[in-house]
Amino acid sequence: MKPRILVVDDHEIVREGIRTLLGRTRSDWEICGEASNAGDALNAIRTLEPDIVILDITMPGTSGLEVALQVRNLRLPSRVLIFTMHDSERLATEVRNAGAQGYVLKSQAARDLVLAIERILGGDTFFGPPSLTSA
Amino acid sequence: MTAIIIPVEDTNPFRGGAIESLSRTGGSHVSVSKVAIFVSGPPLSRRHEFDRHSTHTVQFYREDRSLVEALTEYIGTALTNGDAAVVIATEAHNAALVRELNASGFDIAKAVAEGRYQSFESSEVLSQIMADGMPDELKFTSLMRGIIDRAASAARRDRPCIAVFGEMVALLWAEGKHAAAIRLEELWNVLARTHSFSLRCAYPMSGFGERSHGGSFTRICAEHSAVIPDESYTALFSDDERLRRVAELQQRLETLEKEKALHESERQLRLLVEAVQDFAIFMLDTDGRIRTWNLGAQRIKGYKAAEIIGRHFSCFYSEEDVRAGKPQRELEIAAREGRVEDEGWRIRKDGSKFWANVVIAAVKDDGGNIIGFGKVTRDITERLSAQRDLEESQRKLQDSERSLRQLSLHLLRTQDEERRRIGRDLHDSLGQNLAVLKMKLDSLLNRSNENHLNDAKDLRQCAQMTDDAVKEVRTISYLLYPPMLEEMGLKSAIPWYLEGFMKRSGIVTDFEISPDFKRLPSDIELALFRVLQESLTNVHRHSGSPTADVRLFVHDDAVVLKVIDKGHGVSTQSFEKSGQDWIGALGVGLRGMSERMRQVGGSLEVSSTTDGTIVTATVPIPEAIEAEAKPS
Repeated sequence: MKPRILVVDDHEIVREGIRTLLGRTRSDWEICGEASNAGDALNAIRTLEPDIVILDITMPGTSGLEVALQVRNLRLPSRVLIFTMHDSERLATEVRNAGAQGYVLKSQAARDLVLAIERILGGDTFFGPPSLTSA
Repeated sequence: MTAIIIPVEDTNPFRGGAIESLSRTGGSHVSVSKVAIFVSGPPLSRRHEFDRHSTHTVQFYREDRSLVEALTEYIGTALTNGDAAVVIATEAHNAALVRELNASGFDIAKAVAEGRYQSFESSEVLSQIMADGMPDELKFTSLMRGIIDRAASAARRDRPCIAVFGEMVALLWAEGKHAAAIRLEELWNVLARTHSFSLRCAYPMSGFGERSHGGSFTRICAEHSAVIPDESYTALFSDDERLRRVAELQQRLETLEKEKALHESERQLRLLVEAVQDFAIFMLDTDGRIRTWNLGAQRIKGYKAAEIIGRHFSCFYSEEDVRAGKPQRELEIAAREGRVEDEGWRIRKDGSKFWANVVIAAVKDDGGNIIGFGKVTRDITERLSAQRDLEESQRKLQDSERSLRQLSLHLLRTQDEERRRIGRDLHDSLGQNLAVLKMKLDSLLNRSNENHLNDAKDLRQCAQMTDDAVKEVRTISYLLYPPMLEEMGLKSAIPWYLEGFMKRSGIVTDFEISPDFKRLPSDIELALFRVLQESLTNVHRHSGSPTADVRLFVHDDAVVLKVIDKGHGVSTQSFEKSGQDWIGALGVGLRGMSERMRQVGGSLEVSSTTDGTIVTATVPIPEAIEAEAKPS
């Protein structure tokens, strides 16, 4: 059975970028759904029960970190990979605190996204080395 | 024998006249002529040269009885010597004299029949010699010449000495016709140049009680060759007593001179006080009734002296004040403490009000007993109105400041919103587009053919440039609007921000926060965050400090943010330049910080020494948050 992935980002262009990237590199993965805000994302997580949620932080209303907390608090089975523009040494802490399994910077998607998903699907975590990514 | 010589101008034909025979006649009957005092006159050694026929003596008296006694002796002596007498006196004096002479053994009826005693009613004679309010020389001379000639021809001996007593001058004096009296004295002197007679004038001392009579009194004395003081002097028995009396009078004169000087200075002071127009200055008696008044009081309060003196000063107070017992209370305080000062509305005569400054001072006698109160009142209505204008201006200024503050708040909010919008736009559209562009370029690069090395190189450059652009956009958007503030609060946003600040500035930062620090309302979080940003900008630009420590904690139900640097501090010059407004000295940045704090009910404090600066922002925690934060 193909690993099922939910893509959550308020920007269509980002969701499209992810679809393209994953579609080209890993056709064995299924993008089972998309959402553009926190509410839709939680509904989709409950109903679709994806293996992995690729989750943006900055969205109108509730942030992606809140969604990650909900997933953990509601003991939903999906794993969460934060996908963000924010680039900070603090990011790993925040992401861990929110209960997510890893993060990838949007600017390093081509390099890290597939790798991170693979790690997390394998039961591991992915907190990309910030020293390589920070300015 | 005592003679007092008073020098006067020598124009008197009687001058050098003989001193009358002075002898005590026994009993209580004292001859006034004993003590005739020569006015001017020659030295005592020439006394023997005096002509008994030509004396012009003035007698002052207190009691009619004394006058009549003296005249009895004067006229009696003439009659005894075979001379003749002319008496021009008031009806009462005429009658008393005749009675006394008869009692002394003279037969006046017979003397009258012989023409040796002529008597006239003084007012009648006076009416015959007056013209236009002054004695007429021609009328006087013709009338008197006839009378004296008749007397001379009736006398029983050669070269008789006619004794004349005249009281017309005293009548003129009593009527206040002083110049006329002196003129008449002169006319007697003129007559004496051609006619031989001795003349006695008499004035009651009561006619010289006024201070202004001094000059005229001297002048009257000067018109006479001899002066007889009143009976307080002539009634004395011995020279010793008279000398004593003179010494006493000299002492009294000394006292009077002093009193006169004092009165003069008091008079001048009174005139000064009366003339003061800008102050109402007046006296109250111990009960508060008005005793004196001045021009200023009249001008300020509208009453004339005659209208107000004797009234109680409470009439200057409003009915309300009077009911509350204020006038009496002020007197009590003045009596107890020496003085009382008050400002308030007072009432003029016409009922209008004025704002008064009032000082009431207790006035005490030498023994320390209160004898009244001095009251000084100023009308300061204009000053009050100027003060009100000033307060109005200040109020308007405060309104303007409030409006400006509101405007500045509005501008701050607008600026925040605009920054947020631009920051979001940069992050959302440009940032995301660039991120995806980078993603695709990287992806393309991964798939590029090794045979197209140049393409791969170009792609790599494109990806790098895109990455740089992403970072640039992110930095700009973060500065415009704090990253993660809304999502994660100050606890996360501050370290995120410090991380970027350290990279940009090279300043080492340290952040300490209370472990249990909770989220706050977003406006407070944003305000504190902006204070942090502005403070760090100042540290970076102005302080020269290598470090910046940030502390965030809760103290006394308030959130406290401290930004501490180890720079050279804000110069005292900057503080002095801006006076009290030290916030102003530090530029718009700190002013904005202060304003932000004020808007969330907080405050900003800056303390600066040469060892560094501490910016402290304090915001009370809203009660709802506090309740939530407390352990249940």
